[in-house]
Amino acid sequence: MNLTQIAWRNIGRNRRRSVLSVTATAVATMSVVMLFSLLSGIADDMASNLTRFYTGEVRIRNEEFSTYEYLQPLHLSVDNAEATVAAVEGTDGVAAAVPRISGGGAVFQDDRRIALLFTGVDFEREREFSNIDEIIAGGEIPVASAEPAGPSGPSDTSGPRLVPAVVGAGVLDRLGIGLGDRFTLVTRTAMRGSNAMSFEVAGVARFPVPALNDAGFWAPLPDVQRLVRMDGEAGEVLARMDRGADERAVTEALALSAREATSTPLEVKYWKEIETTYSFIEMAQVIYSIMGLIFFILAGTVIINTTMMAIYERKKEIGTLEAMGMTPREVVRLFFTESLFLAILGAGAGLVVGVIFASILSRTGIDFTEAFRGVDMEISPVLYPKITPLSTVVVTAASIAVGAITSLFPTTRITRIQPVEALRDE
Amino acid sequence: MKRTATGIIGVVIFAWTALPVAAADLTAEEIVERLESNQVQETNHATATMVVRDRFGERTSTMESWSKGRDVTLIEFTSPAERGQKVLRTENEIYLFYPDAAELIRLQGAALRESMLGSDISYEDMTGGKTLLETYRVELLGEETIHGHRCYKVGFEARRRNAAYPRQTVWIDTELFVARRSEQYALSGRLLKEIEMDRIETIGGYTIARRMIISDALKRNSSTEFTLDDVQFDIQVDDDLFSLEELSW
Amino acid sequence: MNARAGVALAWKNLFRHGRRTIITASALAFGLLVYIMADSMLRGIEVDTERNLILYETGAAQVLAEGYLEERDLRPLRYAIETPEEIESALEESGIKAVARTTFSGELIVFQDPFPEDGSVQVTGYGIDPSDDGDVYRLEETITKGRFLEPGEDGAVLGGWLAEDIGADVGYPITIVTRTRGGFFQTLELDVVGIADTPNPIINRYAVFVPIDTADFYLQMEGAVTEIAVAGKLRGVDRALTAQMEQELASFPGVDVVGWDRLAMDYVAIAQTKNSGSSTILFFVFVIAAVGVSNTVLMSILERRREIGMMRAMGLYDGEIRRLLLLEAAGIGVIGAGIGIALGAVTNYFLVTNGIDYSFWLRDMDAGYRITGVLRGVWNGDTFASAFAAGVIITVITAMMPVRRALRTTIVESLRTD
Repeated sequence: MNLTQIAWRNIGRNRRRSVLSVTATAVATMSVVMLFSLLSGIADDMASNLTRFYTGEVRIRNEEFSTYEYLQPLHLSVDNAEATVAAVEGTDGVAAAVPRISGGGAVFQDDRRIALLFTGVDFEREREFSNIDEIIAGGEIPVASAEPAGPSGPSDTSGPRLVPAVVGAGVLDRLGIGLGDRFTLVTRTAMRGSNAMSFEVAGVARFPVPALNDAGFWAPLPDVQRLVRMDGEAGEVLARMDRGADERAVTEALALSAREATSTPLEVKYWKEIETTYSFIEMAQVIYSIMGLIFFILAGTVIINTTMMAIYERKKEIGTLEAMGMTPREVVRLFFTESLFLAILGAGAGLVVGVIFASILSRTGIDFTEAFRGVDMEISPVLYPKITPLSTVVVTAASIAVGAITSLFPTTRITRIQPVEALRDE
Repeated sequence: MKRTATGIIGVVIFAWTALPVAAADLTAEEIVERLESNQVQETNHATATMVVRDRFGERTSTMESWSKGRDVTLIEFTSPAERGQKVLRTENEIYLFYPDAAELIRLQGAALRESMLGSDISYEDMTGGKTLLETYRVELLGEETIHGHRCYKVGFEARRRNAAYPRQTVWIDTELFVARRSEQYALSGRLLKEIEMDRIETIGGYTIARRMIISDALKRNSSTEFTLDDVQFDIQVDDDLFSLEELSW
Repeated sequence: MNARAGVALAWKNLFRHGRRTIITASALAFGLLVYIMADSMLRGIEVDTERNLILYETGAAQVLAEGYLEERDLRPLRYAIETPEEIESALEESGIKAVARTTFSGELIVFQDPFPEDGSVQVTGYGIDPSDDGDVYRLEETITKGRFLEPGEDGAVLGGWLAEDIGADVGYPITIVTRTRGGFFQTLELDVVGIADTPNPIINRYAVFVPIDTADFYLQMEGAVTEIAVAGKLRGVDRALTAQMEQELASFPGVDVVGWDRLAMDYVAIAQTKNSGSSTILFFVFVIAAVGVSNTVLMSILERRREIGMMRAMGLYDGEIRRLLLLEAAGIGVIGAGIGIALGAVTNYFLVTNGIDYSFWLRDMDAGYRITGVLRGVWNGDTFASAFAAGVIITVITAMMPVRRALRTTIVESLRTD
């Protein structure tokens, strides 16, 4: 009979001990699996919000813009926007690219001045790039029109048409208007003058980021270009890469293409290099890893306990085995193998249960709206845990390792037990 | 709460004339009355250029304006970047027309503090129907020479708390009764804005200052230069021109 | 066997099986320690958020003139409290500490030399009474450079990040451009007398503090103030306080009483994110501690089957044996929980006094958001009490089942050697 079979039999025989060890490991594994899944969900959510609505995966801007960013220097723009976007789209490894113009303006209602954030977007491209269909809560996404707003000439007395806009739900509350209503926004232009434009609420969006939801709206790029006097220009060009692309390589490649398409001196940055709140996620990851470690230590103490108890309980058995010719080393290996199997069983069970819970929650989501009230970070209020290799495979492996290794401490003491003593009755 | 914000700027922008008057020993009030009476025409039609300087460089815009009395003015911008934009100023309100917008924008209250076209002139500076003497107490501070011209130095102190500038000093040419320079102060006495008027010319019997330079005293490299290119006085100006209907499409 | 003998025997047994006792007790102790620390830190986060707001921005509650709250963002001076002294007295007489402040917005302008370069930035000005502001706010304690304000002087205390942003140091001259209550343009020419590093990011980045009489003079407030803040609980919203205030001030027309939560909606203490998963985490910690304890208790009871058999053979009733074993379990629980909360108290002491400093992390990240990164723990008697109770209860409960099992086997069986 080999060691493995003996180990299995022993596990079956000492059911109580086995159940305890397995349960402890399972609970620890399950907890950590769920915790890490939740964290992955948060990280994903933040990454998604940042890349969809703020920075893309690669952001291309006029290189001087960042220095004066707080002054909203629209004139520091990217020339030849269309050509630049096309060049970036054509680069290998780029999944989608969009031009955008963002700025701040105001709506004057009676005595109130309401500050809003506008973004000129290419709606067709945005459907692909930022999946805006998903956030539309009412109305619809404007279809690109051939003619821009505004009269075509001095003799055109038809008046400007209303520009369709997708407006954040919170904005509508603040303005006290709804779908189909209009509002007029005044803003500074790229020529440091001013201009105003009237918009019609064509669609209502629930932006996942509270700041955007409460103050932002999207309008067709050609109209915004007209509003701020940036014909043919963009404030920034954002790109998204194919899954699994080499970030550095693709960033460099698209920087090259972009620079060929426009004479504007450019700043091209991969999104993780831009200062954003994503750095919090990285910090949170450290914290959660520490917590995972603590969980495992706790589980480890359980393993130590049960193993010690088991050894103690089975002293006579050990003595018998040794008397029958097993070397202490072999006995240790036997016990170790038992612990290993128990760890595997426990981790496996914990993994399965953890994954089941995490899967359910990843569909229904966990509602943190109450907890996040008043917090202005780029995190959605409802979070979905995400099952990843880290949260599953790594955690399981760690579990098994902890379970097996901690069992070593008590088992090595076995070598010190004298067979004669062990056989003696207590 | 209605706020009447009368500034020298408001008066000066839209009335640029002076009639030569015999100088005598005048009180401050009389000097100011002369200044004002010289500046009120029946009607006024002008074209002007405005150059705004800030840390990013220079920006030029051109406009055409019509006024009637001191109460009502219409400005239409003619430079390409803001072509078709109009500003209608009445006694207490400002209406903005933008060709790209479908409705008029009305500014009241705190909104009047917005600056016009990013310049050093705010809409607040432009409103106001009260005369200078109604809003300010005046005091003759002496005589000084500005750019080789003899001027009365007159101090203005706000009578009520709802003027934007509690104190101003204006140098008024002793012969032509046109303002050559003015300074606006905060309540603390700190200089906030300086205005220089020059290129004083006589056209068709009227003496006008063709150019005005407004500088922000607290920020370097921040100034607005206003130049009258062409002006006609007492011509026929239709009242309808200043209606809201006329303002919009 | 009477009760006293039973307890004595239980106690002796504990020491006889010393190693087992220690192992079980330490598993319990460790689990409780983690529970206490986790709870402390999570509470610490919450407490920090509220403290930051209450001690540096809003006070526990405020008295405002009618109409002010809706336009609070604009800091309108026209909605001001005309008779602050009377209101303050009324509040103080009923035992509520109150201080007046005048808040205004303006543009801070600095010039090259001595500053590194010309600059202007929108700031929030706070006119405070240096002599009693400390009754409600903690600003004075956070001065890191220079000194606090003196009444009537043309001096200013700047928020730390603001000072850093513009390159200010003590003694530098600054100009604030604002409007008086009536609408006049006004400038405040001040010298920087101190720089404060508070735990509140909003204050650090946007605040300029001046003496309230200075603000009153320059803004032409004529004795009126924009708010009267009161001190109160640092945790949660003190409804009793606001109710009391409303009662005291019922005779004053034209003022409202608002708790800090209504003032804090738009303010963000970015460092502190409320964690509703905290209860989940605590639950799991607890479960694992319970599992850790239960398995050792189980083991120890089962392993003593023969001992139990012998006790029976000696004539002890089952009930007495059960009581004995459960007492032992309780004893282990008490020892373990005792050690656990003792350790918990020690570590919590460090957490509370020193806290965990994570600002060094943030410095490297050079994030646009800067956080004063020290996480402090919180003393919460409830947590300790419940941890202790839970520890004992878990141990006893997990002992019950195996004891019953063990007593069910017959004497002969239990005497048989395994």
